[in-house]
Amino acid sequence: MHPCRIIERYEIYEEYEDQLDFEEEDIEHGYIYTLEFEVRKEVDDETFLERHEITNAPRKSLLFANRDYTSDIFLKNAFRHEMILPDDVFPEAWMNLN
Amino acid sequence: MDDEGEDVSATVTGFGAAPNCHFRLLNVDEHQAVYDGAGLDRYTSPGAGAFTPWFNRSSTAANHIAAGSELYVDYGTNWFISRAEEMGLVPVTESYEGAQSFLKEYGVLLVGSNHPNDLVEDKMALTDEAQKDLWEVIKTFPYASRARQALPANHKDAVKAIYGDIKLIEKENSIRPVDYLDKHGKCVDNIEPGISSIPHAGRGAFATRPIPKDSLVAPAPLVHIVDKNTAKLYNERLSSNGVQSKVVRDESEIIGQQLILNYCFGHPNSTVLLFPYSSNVAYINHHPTEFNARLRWAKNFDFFHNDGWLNKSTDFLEENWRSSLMLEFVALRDINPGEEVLIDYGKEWQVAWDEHVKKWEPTSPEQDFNNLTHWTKQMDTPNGKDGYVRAEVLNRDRETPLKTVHEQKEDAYPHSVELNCYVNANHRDAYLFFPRTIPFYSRDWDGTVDMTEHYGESQ
Repeated sequence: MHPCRIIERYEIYEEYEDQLDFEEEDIEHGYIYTLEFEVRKEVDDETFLERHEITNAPRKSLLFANRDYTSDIFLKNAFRHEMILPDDVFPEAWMNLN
Repeated sequence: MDDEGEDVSATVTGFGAAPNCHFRLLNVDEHQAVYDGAGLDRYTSPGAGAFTPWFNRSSTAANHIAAGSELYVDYGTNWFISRAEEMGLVPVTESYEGAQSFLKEYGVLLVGSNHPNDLVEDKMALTDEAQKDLWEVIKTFPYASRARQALPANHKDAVKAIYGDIKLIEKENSIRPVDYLDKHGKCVDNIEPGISSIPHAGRGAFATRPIPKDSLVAPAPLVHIVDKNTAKLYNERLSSNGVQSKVVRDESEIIGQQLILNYCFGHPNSTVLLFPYSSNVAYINHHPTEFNARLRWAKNFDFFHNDGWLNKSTDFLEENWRSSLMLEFVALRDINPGEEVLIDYGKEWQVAWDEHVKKWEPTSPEQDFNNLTHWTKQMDTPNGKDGYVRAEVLNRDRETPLKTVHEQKEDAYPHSVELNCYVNANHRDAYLFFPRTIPFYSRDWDGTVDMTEHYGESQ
């Protein structure tokens, strides 16, 4: 999976459907896409960018993903606290803080 | 879950942690969890983000499982290989092939023939006692290998497995009589998850059957974490060492705590945290007065719970990292089926929660672009539409045409999602355009090379 950008969207014309090696749901979606993305490659400690263009991409090739660190558990104001065991359960031998 | 962060490790309780892994006896398939925030909304609930939204990771029988059978899940071969130093050489799938062919050789050694009919006591070259001793030598020989670890532990099973199957013999040995389990086991399905009756708590644990006063609600085997500082989250900074700077953690700035803290038990006078990893106990919520269960150290479970550890120092706990402690939840009164099980999390927890609720201010979707979480940078303008929307919601719609970058300038997707494509970026069947400042490849999408999961990822 790669983050990508949709550069163009084309409608699938009925007369071309047979030429596309797609599954039913991709044909039903009615559109194909031109995508673009960059890849960082590393060869002998040198990094460089490659630009890729993918044409005739069907709907099933595309998926939304959640951006890193955006879900509720990463909220700055989310509550955090351990549960406390009663004094008569928590072993005295482990009480290493005053 | 992989899209929660850059490099995700997650703890899964219940079936994620309780069953062992035995590659020849795997009998449980595990499935993906789903994201489900239990109806809490980050703009209206101070409970949002205080519990895991990953839910319902189900497990199913991979084959017919006889009553009393031990359940085994697949940890993946790498789990053992990466822990060889701590765990010794645990057999993986290939080890059994080696063990089985070794047994065939062993059979020839015993009777001088590789015909199953010859493997009878009369033809044995060694006495029964000598065979047992030899097997002991083989099993305890100082140069360990995974294949040898896969050999049956006792000699009788080894002879049975020469023309049989190590797996079948291990399977027979892994079944306990149901009467024995009734008498010595601890019931793990007295509770099940549901939406809690406590506001902002998300899910809770509910009784599946009548639980009489003083009887077991659920066992809670524990992972002990000796230093609760390990749950802290630190800001990052660029290290100034050397020519190339890299991002390292800035220990001078604590920015939060890991979510696992909310699922641990501790004490204000100790650095020790105890993480219960059995099924559904993580759902048990708090009530300051109307609680109906309490915790005690496990009784009559000596094969697992080491009561002696309760008198040992924290240094001892640090050295002995294997899970060997168990608490249990016990009913303070009769609990009816469908009733929520509640305990008292302690006054320090209550004070912290009350303060959190007091300080917590509702926010709005308009304010929610990346600066709401610690890890995303403050931006002057949102990089998408206001408000948090999960990718799963957008992925359900397979009909609406997807917007081009040009269209997104007018009508953006939510900032919390990004568009990904299934593509093999290492595939070289593409035309290289010259001259360009960077290499430029262009080709048609091709399901056979782009949709497979096993192609090499980009570097």
